[in-house]
Amino acid sequence: MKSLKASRIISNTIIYLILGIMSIIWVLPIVWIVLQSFGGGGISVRSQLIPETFTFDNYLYLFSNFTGVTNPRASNHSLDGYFFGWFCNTLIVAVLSCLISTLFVLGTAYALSRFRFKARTIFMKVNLVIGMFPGFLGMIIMYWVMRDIFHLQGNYFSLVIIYSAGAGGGYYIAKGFFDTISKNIDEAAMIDGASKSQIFWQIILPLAKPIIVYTVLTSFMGPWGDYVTSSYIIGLQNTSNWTVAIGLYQFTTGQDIATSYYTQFAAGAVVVALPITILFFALQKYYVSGVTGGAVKG
Amino acid sequence: MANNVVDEKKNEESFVSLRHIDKIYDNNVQAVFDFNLEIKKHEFIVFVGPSGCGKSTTLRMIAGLEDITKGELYIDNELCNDKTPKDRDIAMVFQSYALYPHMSVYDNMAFGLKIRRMPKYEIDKRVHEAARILQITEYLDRKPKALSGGQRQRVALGRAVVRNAKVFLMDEPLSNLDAKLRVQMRSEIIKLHEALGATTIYVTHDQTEAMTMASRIVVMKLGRIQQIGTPIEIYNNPSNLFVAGFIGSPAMNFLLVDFDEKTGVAKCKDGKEIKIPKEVYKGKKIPSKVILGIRPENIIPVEEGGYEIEVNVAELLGNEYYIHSDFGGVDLVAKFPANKVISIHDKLRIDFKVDKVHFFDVDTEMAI
Repeated sequence: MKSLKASRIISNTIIYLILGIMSIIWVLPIVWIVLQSFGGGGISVRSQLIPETFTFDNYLYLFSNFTGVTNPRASNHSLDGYFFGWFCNTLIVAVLSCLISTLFVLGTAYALSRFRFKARTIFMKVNLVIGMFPGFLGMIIMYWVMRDIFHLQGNYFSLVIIYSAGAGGGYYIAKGFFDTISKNIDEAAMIDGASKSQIFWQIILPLAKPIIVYTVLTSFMGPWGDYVTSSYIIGLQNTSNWTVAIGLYQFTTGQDIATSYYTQFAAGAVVVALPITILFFALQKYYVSGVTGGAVKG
Repeated sequence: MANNVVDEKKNEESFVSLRHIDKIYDNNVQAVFDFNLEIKKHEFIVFVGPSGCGKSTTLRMIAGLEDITKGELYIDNELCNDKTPKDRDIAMVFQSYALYPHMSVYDNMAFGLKIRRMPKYEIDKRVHEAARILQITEYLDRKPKALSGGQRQRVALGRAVVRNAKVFLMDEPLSNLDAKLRVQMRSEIIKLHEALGATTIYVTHDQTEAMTMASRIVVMKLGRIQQIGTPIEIYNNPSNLFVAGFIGSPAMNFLLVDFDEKTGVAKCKDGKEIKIPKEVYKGKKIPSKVILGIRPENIIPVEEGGYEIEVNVAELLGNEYYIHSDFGGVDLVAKFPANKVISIHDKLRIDFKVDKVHFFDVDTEMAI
C-alpha cells in the first residue's frame, strides 16, 4: 500500500511540475505584454521584463484624440489619435460579420443535418475540399471583386461581406451538434403544425444554445484579429479606415515609428484582448459544452 | 403468403383508408408491399410484427413523415398523399416521447395549439382538461427533464389529446417504460380511448399489447400484411404459420407429422401418434405431410393415458409452469397449473386437446 501511495505522489509531482512549467511558458508573453504596456522611459524598455518606470500614458496615448497625450519618444506623429477610430471600425466589422455569419452557419448546418436534397452529399464533399485551400489564395480575386464590382475597396464594410459570405462553409461543428438533437423532436413539431422555419427558430435554436455561443465566439474572433484580409482590402493609405490589427502592426513596423511606439503597441494589444477575454469568461460554460457537443448529447 | 388481405373492401364507413400502399426507400429497399386497410371511426387498430416488418414505416406514411411511393391514403375521405403532416389533422406519440426539452409541460402541450393560433382561453381550457384526465396537473410548470419516464409519456399523450385530432398515431409508446409501468399505462391508454373515442393506430412489437388493446390487429411480416382481425379471431384462427407462432405466449408448438386422413392419425417424427377426431378436419383437405399446431395451453396433464414425457426445463411463473420437453422431434412447451412441484427430469403424462389443433401447409405455410 505504501509503495502505491509513494508512486502516486511521485507521478503527481511530475505531472504538476510539467503543468507548472507549461503554464509559465503560456502566461509569460501575456505578462510581458501587460507589463510593457505600463512601461515608461526610454527606447530600451523592449528588452526588459519589468520596466524602469510605470506609467498609464501608453493607454492614454491610444485615446489621444480625447486625452491629448502624445508619445515623447517619437519624432513621427502620423498615427496619433487614430486608435479609437480603428477600435470602432473593428468592432463594427466584427459585430456585423459575427451576426451574419452565425445566421449563415446555423442555417447551413441545420439544413444539411435535417433536409435530404439532391447533391447534398456532393456539396458537403466539395465544401470539404475547397475548405482545405488556404483562404488567402483568393486574395487577388477578392481584391478585384471588391474594387471593381462593389467599389468598396478601402471601406471596412467590404470586410463584412468577405467574412460573412463564406461563413456557411464552416458548418461542420454546428451540424454535428444538430445531428445529436433527436429528429423525433422535429417530427413532433411538424405534426403539431409547425413550419420548417418555426421548428428552426422556436424548437431547435433554443436547444442549441451551446453551439450558438460557440459560433458567435468563433465568428467574432476571426474578424476581430484578422490582419491579412483587412490589410490588403483596406490598404495602407486609408489610415482612418484601418482595423486595430493593421494599426497595431504599423506601431511595430511602420517607417520611423517602429522602435518608438513599442509600449503603445503593448497597451493596444491589451485593449484589443479585453473584449474577447470578457466574452470568453462570460460564455465559458457554454463554450465547453458546445465544443464537445458533437460527442456527448448536450 | 398470398394476400388474405383483399377482403378489405372500400367501404362508406371507413375513416382512414390505405389502398395498395407501397414504400420503396431511396436505396431501393422496399419496406411495405401492397398495404390495404380500411379503418372505421373510433377503432383502435394495432400494427404488430417483429422489428423491420414495416409497421412503423406504414405509421409514418400515415403521419406524413415518409413519402408514399405508390398507392392512396384517405383520411376522412380526403386524399392525403401529398398533404403535409400539419394539414392531415393527426396527433402522434413517439417512442422517445419527443417532448420539447426547453418548454414546460404546459407549453409542450400548448405548442400545437399556439401554432394554430387558437385563442388563449381555449388553449388554457384544453391543456388543463387534458392534464386532469392524465393526472399531470401538478407538473404543468415543470420541464420534461424533471419528470419520470411514465410522466413524460403522459405529457406526450397529453400533447396528442389537446389537439383533438382526427387520428391518433402511437409508435411503440410504451417500449421505453419498465414492465410494471407498461402494464399500467396500457390500461390507461385503453381508458383514454374509451373516454375520447379517437380513431387510433398503435404500433407495437409486443403481442400482449396487441391482444389487450386492439379492436382489430394487423399482423405484419417483412412489409406484408399477414392477417387482419379482432384479437380473438387472430388467436383462434391464425391464417398462417407466422401469425400462429407470433400471437400467443408462449408460442404455439409446431409438429411436422405424417397425416392419415382415413384414420385421423398424425404420426410424429419420433413415431409418436396423435389421433385427431374426424369432425376436427371435416371438410378440409389435409395433405399427408402437414404441420400440426397446438398451443401450450391446450396441452393438459393427465393421470393415465396420453403420452409420457421427461421434463427438460420447468419455468415457474407463480400460478403456472411452462414445461419444456422433447416430443415429436421438437421442444414442446406446455402450460400447466402450478398445483404441485414439477422439477427437471420428472416424468409426466400429458394429453392434447385435439379439437384445438391447427393444420398448416408445409410449403405455403398457410392455415388449412
